[in-house]
Amino acid sequence: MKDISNIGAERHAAGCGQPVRCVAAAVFSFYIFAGLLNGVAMQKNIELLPYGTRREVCLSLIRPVAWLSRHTHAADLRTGLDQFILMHKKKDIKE
Amino acid sequence: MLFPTLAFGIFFLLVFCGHWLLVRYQLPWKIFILGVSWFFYACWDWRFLGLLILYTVVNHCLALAASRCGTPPDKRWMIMAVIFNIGLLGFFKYYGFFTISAYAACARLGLACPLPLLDFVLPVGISFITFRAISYVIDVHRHVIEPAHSLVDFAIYKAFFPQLIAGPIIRARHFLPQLYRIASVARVDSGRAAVLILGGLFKKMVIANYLAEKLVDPVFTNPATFYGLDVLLGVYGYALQLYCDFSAYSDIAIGVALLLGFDFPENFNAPYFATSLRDFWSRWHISLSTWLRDYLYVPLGGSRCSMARTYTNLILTFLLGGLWHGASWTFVTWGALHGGCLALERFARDLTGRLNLPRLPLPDRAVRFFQRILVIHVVCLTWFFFRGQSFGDAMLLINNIFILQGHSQLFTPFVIFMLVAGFSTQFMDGARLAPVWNAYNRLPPVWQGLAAAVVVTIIVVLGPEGVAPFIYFQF
Repeated sequence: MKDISNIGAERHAAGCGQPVRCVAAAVFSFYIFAGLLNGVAMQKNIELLPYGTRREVCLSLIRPVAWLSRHTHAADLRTGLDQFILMHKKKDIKE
Repeated sequence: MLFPTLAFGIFFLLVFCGHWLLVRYQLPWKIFILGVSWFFYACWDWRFLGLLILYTVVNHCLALAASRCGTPPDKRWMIMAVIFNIGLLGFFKYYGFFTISAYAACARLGLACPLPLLDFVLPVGISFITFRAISYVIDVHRHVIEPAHSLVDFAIYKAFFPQLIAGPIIRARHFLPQLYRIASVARVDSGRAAVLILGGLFKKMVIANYLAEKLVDPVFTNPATFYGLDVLLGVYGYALQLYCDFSAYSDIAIGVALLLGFDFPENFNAPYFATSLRDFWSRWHISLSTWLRDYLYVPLGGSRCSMARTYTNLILTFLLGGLWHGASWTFVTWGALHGGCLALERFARDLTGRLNLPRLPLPDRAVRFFQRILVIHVVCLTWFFFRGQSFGDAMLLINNIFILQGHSQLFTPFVIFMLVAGFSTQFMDGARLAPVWNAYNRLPPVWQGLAAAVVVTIIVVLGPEGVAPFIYFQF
């Protein structure tokens, strides 16, 4: 069995990885794309939370993301995926 | 604050920005990272933040005292630290268990038990916090490491949020040197981090959650209604659910730490490919098994004494390992079974070595295959006690395996697919996916973000609704 205790050190020595600036760019773009794809779905989930400060704060944070998601039609991709999976889940239940 | 939630997503974004903006300014960075780690812990239950601070201050003082002793080192400080840590753990985790056991024992003898029964809320992650504290003080006492440069450094080690709640049990000798040179980190292995995090999310949100919902929970909550193949599927499902759940937490923790410039050792290495129980424990929850080896088995004498004593040490180590998992006789039985089987395996190895028995006339591959099957089934047998709601339930399920029923309620293509998928996730452990890490690293940053966002969306859509807590949070 190969020793796995030093994977990080071995990769560091081999120069694997990227500069922090690139990683930060990747992380930010992840949040932007994830927000665009899932903004509307997240807003719907937050709307299900019990009324209170937490719900209001989350909603005010997510509203602009959901708006962008809707207006760039990125939300449609998520809706399509949801419907595709739902269709197959229903098929499983019928079987 | 669970890892696969929007709340953690927002928390991590803020931490990531603050961390890399402040990392060159030592003191503000330390205060920031300690503050966010304490906030992370307080999100579970703010009342226990005081306990975490108490652990930190007392262990730091005792470690400093232990480090100032000459050679041979004075054991007093180390013993005090062990008593303090085990005492607090015992008080919160085992008081009720031992009181109820004492009541039952006294009642059998016709005596009155004067101990009061107290109802505690178990502080989340207390077992992991205790183990990290003990290993730190013992290492300082043994002069394996220098004590932390300051109380703040030690507090960061104790509270660093990715590993705070459910491990892996990172040793101070791994963490502190990285903490001291964090400002000089210029490159981050984001490919490995992303694959670990995304793989962890897939294992937890899709495989572990489906296995729990469709297979494991029905069998283990109604043990009297399942027989034969269903019970077997239930325990195979649990074996894979537990692996997917806990290794997912470890992977996400390692990935999150990597994005912050810290490198944690791996905690799992394809455990169900093990060819012996000893091999299994070098692949399963590696940080715990190495902890038990270094701080319990070896100090007990390890394998440097007589054969009988070695077997006793093995059994004792695993009995305590079982008890560490939870205050229940089912966990003690689980530990005893593992310890007993390991002792038996060692005895068989010693015996075959002495008698110079001929090897089986089978190709090595076939031997390894049968060994793997045997190990999986021994481990699954012990999982009945680990997951069973009581000793009686576990025994009932084991008994029900041998009752054959014509119709299986759980044998569906979906369940079989999930079992195969769960087993296959073991190929993600270790450095098996290194080509994928490297390929991801070569992508432009925007494409990396897009790829991760698409994968997360698919995982969210595929998984059942809601996020169940990680199993190891209860320990």
